[in-house]
This record gives sequence, C-alpha cells and structure tokens, in this order.
Amino acid sequence: MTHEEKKTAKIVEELTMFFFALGACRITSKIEKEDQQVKILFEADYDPAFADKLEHLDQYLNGQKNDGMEDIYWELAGSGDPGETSQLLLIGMMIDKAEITIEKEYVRLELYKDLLQ
Amino acid sequence: MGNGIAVRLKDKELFVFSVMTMMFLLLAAVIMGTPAELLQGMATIIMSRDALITDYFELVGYGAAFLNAGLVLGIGILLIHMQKIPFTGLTMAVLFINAGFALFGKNPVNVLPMILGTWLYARLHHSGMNRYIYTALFGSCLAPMVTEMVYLLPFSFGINLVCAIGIGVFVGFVLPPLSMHTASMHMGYNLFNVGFSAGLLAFVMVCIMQSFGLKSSSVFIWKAERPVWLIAGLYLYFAAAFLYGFFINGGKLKPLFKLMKHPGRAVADFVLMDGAGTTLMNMGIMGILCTSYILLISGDLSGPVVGAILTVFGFAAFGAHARNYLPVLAGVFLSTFMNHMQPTTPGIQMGAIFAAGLSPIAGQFGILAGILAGMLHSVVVVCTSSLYGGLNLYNNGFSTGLVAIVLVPVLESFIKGFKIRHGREPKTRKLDADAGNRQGK
Repeated sequence: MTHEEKKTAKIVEELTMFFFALGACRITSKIEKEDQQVKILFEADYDPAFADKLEHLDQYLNGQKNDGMEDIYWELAGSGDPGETSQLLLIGMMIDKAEITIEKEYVRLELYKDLLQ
Repeated sequence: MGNGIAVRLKDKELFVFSVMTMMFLLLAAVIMGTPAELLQGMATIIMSRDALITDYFELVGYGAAFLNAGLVLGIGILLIHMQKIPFTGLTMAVLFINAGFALFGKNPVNVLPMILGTWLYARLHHSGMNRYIYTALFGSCLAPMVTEMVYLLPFSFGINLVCAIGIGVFVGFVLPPLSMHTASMHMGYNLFNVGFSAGLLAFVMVCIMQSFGLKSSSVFIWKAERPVWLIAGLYLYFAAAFLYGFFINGGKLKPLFKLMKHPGRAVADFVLMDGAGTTLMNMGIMGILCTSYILLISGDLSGPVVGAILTVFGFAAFGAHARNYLPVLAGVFLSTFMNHMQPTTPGIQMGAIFAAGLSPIAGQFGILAGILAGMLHSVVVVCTSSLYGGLNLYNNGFSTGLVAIVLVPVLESFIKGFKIRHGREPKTRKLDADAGNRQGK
C-alpha cells in the first residue's frame, strides 16, 4: 500500500477546510477502514447564508475519478485557501463514490475510496 | 444539423480536436517536404544532440519538424487512448506540451526510455500505467539526457546506447514519486510541476556525470524568422480552436468570463469545471495572445517559441487564462527595461511565453504579485539552464517552480496579512461551484 492512509487523512483535511469556509462550528469525521476500501463519514453544520455553495457539491464529489491526477496532486488536498473549489474537485478525483445528504444547516457525507493494493 | 454533430461529438470533443491537430501537423509536414527530405530530417533529429536550445526548424527544416511534432503527439494520444484516460484539462496540457517540445528536443525515439521506466515503476507497485501516464509523458523532458549519453560516454556506440537507454529508464522510474512531492513544495502555484521535479533530478544527475568527468554543454541552434505563412497558420489554428469551442458551447460566450474568475492554482481543470467548449475557447484566446505578443516585440517564430506557444495553449485547459497570464507576461516584459536583456533575447522570448506557469500567482494574489512573479522568472530562468547543461527541456518549468517556492510564502504572509488588517479578506472565498460539466462516475 502506497500513501493510501495519508490520502484519506488529506481528504478529511480538505473537507474540514471547505466547511470552515462555510461557517461551520461543529465538524465530525470518522474513518472506517475495511479490507480494500475506506469509508469516510463527515458531518458538519454551515451558515445558511452559504447554502448556494453546496448546490454543486455532488457535481464535484461524484465527478470523474482520475488516478493519474490523484497521484500527482494528492498532497495538495487540504493545502489551499478555505473554500477553494478546485481542491474539492481533487477530492472528487480521489474517491470512488460519495453519498451526500444536505439539510438545513447540516451536511452529511459518506465517501468511499478503494485502496490501492 | 449543428445539434446532430454536437450530439455525436459529446464527450469526444477534445479527443477529436487532438487527433485533428495531429493530422494538421502531418499534413503540414507533407506539404513542406518531400518524403526523402522528411525521412532524412527525422533521421537527423533522432541522431543529433537535443540539449537546449536545438531548434528543429533550423536543424532539419519545417517539414521534418512538423512531422516529428505530429508523431510525438500521436504517441501521446495513443497512450492516453490505450489507457482509457479521460480527455480533461491535464490531458490537453500533457499532449500539447509534448507536441510543442517536439519542435525542440523530443522525438519519437528519445521519449521511449522514460515511458518504459515509468511503466516499470507502475509494475513494481502493482498498479496500472493509467495512474502514471501523465508523469511518463511530462517526464520525457529529460529526453536530451538519453541522446547526450550516447555521445558523452567513452565506450563503443553499442555500450553507450545501452547505458543511455538505462539512464532514461532510471529517470522515468524515479520521476513519479519525486513529482508527487514537488507539487506540495510550490503548493500548486507552478503549473509546470514535472518541469520542476525533472529539473531537480537533472541537476543531481549532471553533478554525478561531472564527477566522472562527463560534461554536457548547452547548444544554441535558433531560426530567427517569422514567415507570414506560419503566422497565418498559427492564427487560423487558434481561431479554429476558439470557434470549435464556441460551436460546442452553443454560441455562448458568458461561460468564458466565468472561467477567467478561477485563480488557476492546481488542480484547476477547466474541462471538468467549465466544460470542453469553454476550455477550447480559452485555449484559442491564449494561443492568439502569445502569438501576438511575439509579433508585437518583433520576436522570432522559431521552433522553441512555437513550441512554447503550443505548451501554453495546452495549459489554457489547466490553470492559465488571459486574466491571470497577462500580469506575469507584463512582468517579464517590464523586467527587460531594468536589466541588460531585451524582449527579443531568445531565452526571454521563451520565458515570456512560459511565464504562464506562474499565472496562478496573479490569479490568487493579484496583478502586482503577478508582475513581480514575471520579473523574477525572467531573471531566474537565464541562470537555471547552466545548472544542468541544457539537459532539462523544461528549464522554464524549473524556474517557475523556484519562483513560486520563494514568492508564495512571502505573498501569503504580506498580502493576506494586509487584507485581513484592512478588512478586505472575505469571510469565504467565492466558490465558483456552479461551474462544471462533469460526468458522473
């Protein structure tokens, strides 16, 4: 396994940065690692004034997975300014699937990432 | 009818554009040289030294140079297609950087050892080549090292050739892990990431070579011309790219202005964020902008300059646009009024075009920061080439990496601090999340 745990931690870091930018005060993350897959549970509140910023969360997180881009740029995850969408795009390239629940002032994400052998 | 074509092209727009570009280059080659001249030219390209700056327009003529560019681009398209890599912004960047540098340093033979080395790296890590294909294709910037070793080593031609291939394979083998770490060094503010990692590797390898008494020296072969047919061809090609994107976008210009609001810091894949049509329009504009700058300063449309323009054309799909590029370009130009160099000095002409690698600095920190970055790049790039005897084709990528590493922490400290003290830092950066035509997983 190469860098897979670090990548998982970076994904959580990036999401934390993103939701801080949306005015989050309570953020919870949990990682479940099983055999060849890791599941990231991420919950955060947000300032309703930024609700429009979540409209395209699904578009970014459930976009094309891109192993090549992931391998060059994964260290940049979590390194940008809070709320930088290009970094959210990077998360979308690093994961295999995202289940997104958006409620008023609350977001729950379940991200699935297959681990490299 | 237009809609029917658009439907048939859907998700294949950039693949079609890349293949058409390759055919355009091959057609230009056939028009400009007889088969015998083209074959002779290709043989010369493959057998000659390729260290910076070896202008293939001057070395073998336009026909063979275009043939070489078409073949190298074809290899890139074939590998991308075989690995089922989606045609995103980074894909366009990697294809056009290869086509561009095939006018001054890369050829279908000297890029192969690096690709083989990266393939071995992928095999060793029980991973698919699709994971490392970008690094393999970008990494061919150290191709001159392969040809150089054939001439530098003191053994027979056969042994030299085997050693040269071995060194090329080694380079391709070590570049993937190195490139991964250099991205975090410049924080994505240098678009030419592999140029920086390859520069570091080239410097170390040249030091090793020198410890054995093997010294490589730079070359200067340069065609100081700007023929009217080439100017017309470039403008027509970039205009065609713009119009093709305009057609894909259904005649809408507005998304282009939205694209220009991105800071451009990696990973700003415009194809994924703004769609193929908008990206192609941006590429067309950047191509026209770069060509116009060279004409305005009465520069040369030599192989390296046209190659640099093609590179920036590709990176206009991955971070560079007119709004964040113009300040760094202005910085390079203005610096020539303060030092002994001229805007038409060959290295400065290339530096001005390749300064696009620092565009994210202007996009993130503003116009003045961009101008400063351009000025720094113009003075650093003339020093860096001698570090590795011209053996790293992405000399500008190495320079932009150094500038970003030095400048970004300072800018973050002062500009952000200033904005926060004066209440100009927004509570949250504008999230341009409404952009994007991403396909589902």
